[in-house]
Amino acid sequence: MRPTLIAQMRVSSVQMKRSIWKPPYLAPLPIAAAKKNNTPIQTTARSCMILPSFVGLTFQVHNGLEYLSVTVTEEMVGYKLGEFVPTRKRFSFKGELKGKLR
Amino acid sequence: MTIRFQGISMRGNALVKLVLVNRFTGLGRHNAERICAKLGFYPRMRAHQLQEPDLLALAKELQGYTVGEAYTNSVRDNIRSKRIIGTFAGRRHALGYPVKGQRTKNNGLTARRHNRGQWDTEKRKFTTLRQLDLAPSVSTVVGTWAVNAAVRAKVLVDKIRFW
Repeated sequence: MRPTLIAQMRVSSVQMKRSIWKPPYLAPLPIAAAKKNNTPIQTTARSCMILPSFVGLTFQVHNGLEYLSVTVTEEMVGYKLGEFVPTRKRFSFKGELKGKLR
Repeated sequence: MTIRFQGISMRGNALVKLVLVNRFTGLGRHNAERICAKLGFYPRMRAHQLQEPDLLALAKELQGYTVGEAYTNSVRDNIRSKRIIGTFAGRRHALGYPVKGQRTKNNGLTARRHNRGQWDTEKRKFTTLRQLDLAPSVSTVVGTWAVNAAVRAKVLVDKIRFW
């Protein structure tokens, strides 16, 4: 492989952990329509990378059971959508839960 | 014989490479060997064999690396930013659990040690800053000169340690 390419890959592995000759992983999402209408985007594509153009939009990301809403800020660029929506609940005994709800 | 260099003292008979690895946070074997090779320190070179120009060259070379306090700060900042924006990794750090998908039924000990100890932003590293913030409130509550002086002295000591 060309040395420049290897060097680029090394840099990218630090920053985004994916080879730079690949584009960032994206899923087809109705970004333009959402920006126009200001509607949340409902999606199951948790592994879709957040691009700078997503900033300010609201996503409803699937957590395996339901769609939780995430508003994208500038610092979230470069992370995946799914990182902001946990898929697992912390275990708690029934009694504890009742106490908290009350 | 000890050699003083950038606030650390190294034994005269210590290997230069290992001094770099052990005493400078953020440098591993790879970087230490690279620095030694670049500056012409041969692999078994000892600290007492370093001349003044060697130390100067080493200091200059180390400016290109994030080392020591700067390195720990950068790690802490990364963790803190992840916590603030609420990523999965940030949550795991906050809870003191393994971050990279390891099991938690058994064997969470390493993560617990790392996440609740050295890098913990709230508990350990910022005690000095917190004391600086607390100092005026303590003085107003108690209001005696002696306590103020004690607080001031403690703050001063902490400041010195912090810088």
